[in-house]
Amino acid sequence: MRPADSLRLSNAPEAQVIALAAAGSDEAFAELVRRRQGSLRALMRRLCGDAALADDLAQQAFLQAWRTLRQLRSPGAFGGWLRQVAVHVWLRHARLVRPPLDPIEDLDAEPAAESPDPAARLDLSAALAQLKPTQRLCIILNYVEGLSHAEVAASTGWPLGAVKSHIARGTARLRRLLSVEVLS
Amino acid sequence: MTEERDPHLARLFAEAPEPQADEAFVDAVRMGMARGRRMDLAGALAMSAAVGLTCVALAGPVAQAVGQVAGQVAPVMAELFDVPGGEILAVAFAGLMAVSAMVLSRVRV
Repeated sequence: MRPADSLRLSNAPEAQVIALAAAGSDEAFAELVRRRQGSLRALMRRLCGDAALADDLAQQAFLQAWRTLRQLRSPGAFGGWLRQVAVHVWLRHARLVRPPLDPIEDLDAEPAAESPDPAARLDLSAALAQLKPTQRLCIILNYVEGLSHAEVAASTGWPLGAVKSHIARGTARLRRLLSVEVLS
Repeated sequence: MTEERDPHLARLFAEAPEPQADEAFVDAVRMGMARGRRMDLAGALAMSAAVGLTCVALAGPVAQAVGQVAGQVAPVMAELFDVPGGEILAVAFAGLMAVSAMVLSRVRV
């Protein structure tokens, strides 16, 4: 691709870039990766707590999106669709490393109470890492991605009641972990 | 249960930095795409080769079946041409035999 074409692509509206990518242009898809990598890598980093693994999973998500881009019905839905692909990639990974990942079973099994020592205050990413994977995913989709509970349920394929419980319990636990001083 | 978000947590999340745009990451995805295309191509070649080998393997029995049927049909067709209007019957008979040959070859394979 000539530099002039590349420049045109970088200035093109996203819907046009998506249409070109869906038609088979690798350069157009690379432009989409360039535009969306920040948010997708950030999402994966919050989910994993490990930058290298997060980038690896983000790459997998982009490659899966590249393979299935023709299934996207509307270019306007690209952001949500890409996030859903990423969530599925992460869930697959989480099931491999920590089977089973059960959104209902996880509701019953609360982790042991965290240390009451105020000196053991944690930063946000460390606190997130202490949540159950199901809680972490629901909290991140709700707080960071701005999804409603129903949208989180749709993205994950989990029951709405389970999602609401994960968000409530995860929020309470994060508040405890981060301590009142940090939050107020 | 309401959908209200804890404002303090929301603020903490909003302040968390995003990774910087990284051309090396884009290049890594590009390499993955190229690898994917190579694997697709290899898969298509393997599929074509498998189809070709299957055709070669089937060609022998099919030709043999057609030869056998033709050997039986030829004398009948020759006699049909000797009667008035027999050409039409001969063509219809030949068509019928061709279909039979195809069915027979599938059964034998």
